[in-house]
Amino acid sequence: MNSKKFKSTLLGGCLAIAFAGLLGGCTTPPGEDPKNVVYNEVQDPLEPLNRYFFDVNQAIDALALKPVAHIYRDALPEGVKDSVSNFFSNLSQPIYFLNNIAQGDLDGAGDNMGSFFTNTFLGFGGLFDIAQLDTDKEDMGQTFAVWGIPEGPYLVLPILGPNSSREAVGLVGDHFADPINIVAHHNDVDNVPLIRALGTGVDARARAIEPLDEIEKNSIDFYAAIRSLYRQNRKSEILDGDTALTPLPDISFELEDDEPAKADSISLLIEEDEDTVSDQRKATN
Amino acid sequence: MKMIRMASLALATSLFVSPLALTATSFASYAQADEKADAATELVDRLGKEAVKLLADDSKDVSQKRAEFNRLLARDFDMRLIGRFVLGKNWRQATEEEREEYLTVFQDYIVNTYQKRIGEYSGENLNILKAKELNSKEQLVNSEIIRPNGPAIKLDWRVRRNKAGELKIVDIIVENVSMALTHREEFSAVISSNGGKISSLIDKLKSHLEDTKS
Repeated sequence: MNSKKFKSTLLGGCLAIAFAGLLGGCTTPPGEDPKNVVYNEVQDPLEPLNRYFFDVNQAIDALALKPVAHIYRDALPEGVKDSVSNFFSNLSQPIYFLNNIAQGDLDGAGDNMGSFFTNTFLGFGGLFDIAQLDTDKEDMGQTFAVWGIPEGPYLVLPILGPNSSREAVGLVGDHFADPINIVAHHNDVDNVPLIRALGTGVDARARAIEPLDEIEKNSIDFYAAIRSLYRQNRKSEILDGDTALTPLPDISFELEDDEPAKADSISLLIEEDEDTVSDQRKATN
Repeated sequence: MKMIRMASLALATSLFVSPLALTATSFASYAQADEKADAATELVDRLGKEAVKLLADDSKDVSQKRAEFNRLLARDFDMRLIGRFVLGKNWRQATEEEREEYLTVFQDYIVNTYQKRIGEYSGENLNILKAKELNSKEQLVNSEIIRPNGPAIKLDWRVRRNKAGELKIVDIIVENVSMALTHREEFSAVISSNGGKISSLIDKLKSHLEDTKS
């Protein structure tokens, strides 16, 4: 069937990306904190390639996605856009549910289930968010993080955008594990994953037009800014937005022109940045 | 989905303080720890109110507002410490002149960037939630920006008492994303891709300011 062929080509392509990412992941130093609760210096060994794809994505965005997002944003009333967002969100609740279970977050899983059934049956197939449970979006990349798999190198994938290699593998996994995709496939409904991806993508892009423009205008290295935002945001998602665990930058140093610190705190005179910390860690491993 | 999360994050990073009405928060009155918390919260509160007044002040023109904004920044933020943190390990390799030049340009860059962000801000309320002690010198003030459309945006302020005993803000964390860290990673990338020269960063900042100051 057409869908089978598409699926196997997609599978092939995704596996290729995933393996590239995994091989990159093998360069992760041992003992790295997988959830990055301690903030680690970014690993971007593929930076030239990433920058290239970043530029490619910018071009595709400017030519195709952004204009569509503009039209979507300007032509549709707020209520319709909310419904689109709700609809696609709702379709993803089953995979969020599975990921929450895999992460051991039973409360979250319960919310996903509740949300899905309430919004599907009472919310006209998901168009309206009746449940208002404000569930987190859980993907397999986050599940891997919770399981302790390290982040791996930063990847900018064509079209898909910023990822870590761990998340890239997760994307492939989610695609095949997603119950909605499986049900659609069994019933021979074509292109469901694609439509879902496009719908969610345009909606999200529309909401992000101004903020992203603003970040770009003020950045002196847009690629690096996005990379930083992506990684920090990712950590926040993995930790489900729990501030208590979110790492804060280490600024435990004293300025040279200040009075010298007391004898028992001489260590503060040494600037503690990630390099010294990770060197020490490597030395002890 | 990740993109939606990034979208709300991106939206959040483009906003700053601008309360039109401040919800009163009550603090339990325990001992000293709470005095520190109160002091930190008051700092954020006062800054917020002044920033709003400044924004709404139509009697001032752009350059006057910028000057006033500069004053608030210098008063309530530890720009030297932030600048040094943002430069990271490159600070040690910089000469004294480079450091001073960098700090001047850096302050200019921050004023330029955040003044615009605040300028686009209207109709939202700043709600200060609580303050938490991070260590003997620092407090984290949790607040949120209540928006008419959409969920509240989490905004945390990292406040630190310096050697002189003054309380200053050293970082703003929007939806768990640290602004200081983001700038640091960006600057670090610019320096690395220019052979590790701090002068390249200074030049880049200068030309950016020329392009965007209008």
